[in-house]
Amino acid sequence: MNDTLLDDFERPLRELCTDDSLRAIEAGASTDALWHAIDALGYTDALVPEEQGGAGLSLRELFALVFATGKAGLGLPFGETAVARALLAAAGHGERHGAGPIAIAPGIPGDAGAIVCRDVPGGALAQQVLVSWQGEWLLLPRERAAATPGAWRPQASATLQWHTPDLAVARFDAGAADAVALCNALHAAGMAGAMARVLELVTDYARDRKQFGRPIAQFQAVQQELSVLAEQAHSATLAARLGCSAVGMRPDPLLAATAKLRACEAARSVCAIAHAVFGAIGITEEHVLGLYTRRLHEWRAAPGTETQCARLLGQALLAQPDGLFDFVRLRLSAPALA
Amino acid sequence: MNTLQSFSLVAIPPEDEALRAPVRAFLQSALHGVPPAVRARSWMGFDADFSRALGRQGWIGLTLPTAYGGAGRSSFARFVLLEELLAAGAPVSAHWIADRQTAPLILRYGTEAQRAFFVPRIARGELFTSIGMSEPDTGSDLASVRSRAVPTATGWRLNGRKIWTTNAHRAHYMCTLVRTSGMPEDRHKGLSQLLVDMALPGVTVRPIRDLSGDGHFCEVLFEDVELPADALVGEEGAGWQQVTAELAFERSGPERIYSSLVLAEAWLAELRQSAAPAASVQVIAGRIAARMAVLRAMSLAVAEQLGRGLDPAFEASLVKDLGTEFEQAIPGWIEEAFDAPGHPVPSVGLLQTLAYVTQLAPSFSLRGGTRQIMRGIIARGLGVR
Repeated sequence: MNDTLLDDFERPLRELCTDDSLRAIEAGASTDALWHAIDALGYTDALVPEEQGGAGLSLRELFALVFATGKAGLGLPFGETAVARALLAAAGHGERHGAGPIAIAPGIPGDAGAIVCRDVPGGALAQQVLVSWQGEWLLLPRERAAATPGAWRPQASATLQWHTPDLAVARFDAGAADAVALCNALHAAGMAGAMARVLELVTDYARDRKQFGRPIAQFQAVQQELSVLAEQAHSATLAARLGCSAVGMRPDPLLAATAKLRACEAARSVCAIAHAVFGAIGITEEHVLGLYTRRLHEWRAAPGTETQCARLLGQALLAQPDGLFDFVRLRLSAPALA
Repeated sequence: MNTLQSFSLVAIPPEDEALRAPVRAFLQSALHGVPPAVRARSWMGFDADFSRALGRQGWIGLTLPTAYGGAGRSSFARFVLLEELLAAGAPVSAHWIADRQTAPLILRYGTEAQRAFFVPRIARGELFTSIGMSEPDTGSDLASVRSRAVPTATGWRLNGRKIWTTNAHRAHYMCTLVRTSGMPEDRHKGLSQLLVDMALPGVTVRPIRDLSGDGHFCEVLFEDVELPADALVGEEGAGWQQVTAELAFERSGPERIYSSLVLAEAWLAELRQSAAPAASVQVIAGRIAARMAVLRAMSLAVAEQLGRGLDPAFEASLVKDLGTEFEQAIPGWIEEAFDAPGHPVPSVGLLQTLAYVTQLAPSFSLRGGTRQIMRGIIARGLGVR
């Protein structure tokens, strides 16, 4: 785990992602300049092998960066792009280096041979989407898709539909790759980051905001709520670490599901408490809190959802001969680092 | 505070993981045929013979120094041992408190004579202890204890009353927190820890039955109990600091996650009999697994910090609150699963286990400090208190 990477990335990221710029993007402003600035930080090729011009990091190390993008509120699919570039480079499509943001999504069959990617976070801002489709990865240009605006972030996210897989500009064998597992791991990391930011916003507010003559943080009832929020945020962070604990770039599907499930459960509680503490100001457009809670809700609804993850884990647990404890110990634990 | 740094991913080193197989083999033979409703008692289950057998294996005082009869192993070895004991539902309560709290306390604060006397006996499973913290008007507010020991020519004279003292009627010694100077208004000042030989004149123990019919809590009366000078552990008046350090060890271990594990395992074993569990049942099983996996990872992270001599009071409180919440949720989830279409009819043994765990579940979040107290500690860690 290389958290020292974080500082060099987090600081400029925070400067790029001001409340105003985040809000403008949600409202449909161009993201080209922002993406170029983020790309220029040099981390988008973090997972690409060194001999191909990347940093050769693992998903385990990417975690800290994805967490930071979540915390900064970045609406572009940074983690997805880093993984997609590495997958493309490994398959000999490394020449796409430098292209815009790439989303990742599982493809489901639509009408008349179409491919549908449902509820893609940042799907309206991505230039391309790497879609897992019948044993292959397809790199599909977003501009060729019919888009339905996302329910949570209509200008940023979308359900995308391509009328034929032939629109792919690159396609390669997917092997064991699993877009749902990748999204689960990456989205859980982004969600954990967003929840860390919500925790900061809420604790700062509770210290500043006075009622009945003293800061509301001094009320025991408020302290208890903040503690629960913190518990959930911390728990989601470690869960996301677990989801990204792969030494390569492909997450373990069960660990990724664990991460996403836990992040979703935590997000429900975090959003509810945060808005309760902020009172009415938190649900106004002028306040930044809503940008984060909206993202969290969108991630919760993206594939795989909380229930889908729980079901995947339950099926795996019931399909094997060991008990719960051994299943958790053997299948849902962090792999030891050599 | 940096959210990223609080918990790191930790894997159990192979040499400690290797302890699992012999412990499991021992437990399989020792607990053969014990029904789940009995095994579900685990850390409330008292069996002196079992504890002595465990001591003969060298599995009490696993992390204590070999010079005092311990095994000198790491905190991870202990984590593995505790996991196996709790997963099997072993009756650990006879030696549990002495092993977990009293022996480390005496090693850290005690005199050489106290170490030489107590620790080897504890490690052999021959000397059991209880912890006398609570009093009739003192639950989480330990600073308000009123039991008092006054100095005498030969040691201390103790008067007072303790309550909720687990296994006081079966323990050889009680490690009590009492006032040795000042008044209750002095709060943290003037408290001390004393080791009370439970066979001394003036000690009266009255077990309190719980609602499942077990008797492990006790009320204890001290009436002019004459204690020798070396009953004092550590410094006179420093009891509060000593107790606070002790509690971090108590709050984060696997025992804060696995209290309902025997029930969950018994349920899953019966569920496997049905060909295709309903989706809703799969979801419940998956939720339990994911919750447990993350809590286990958090608990391991705290064990690693404790092993490095750090003081993860914030993290330990987090694990305890989340862990006991999880333990308390399990019976309800399982009950919900029973009514799903196609769910096999639960056996009488499973229903008894469910009934036991459901009724005892409120205690999960009480022992070691209530949920609200844990959240108070977390709030302080967040800087809002």
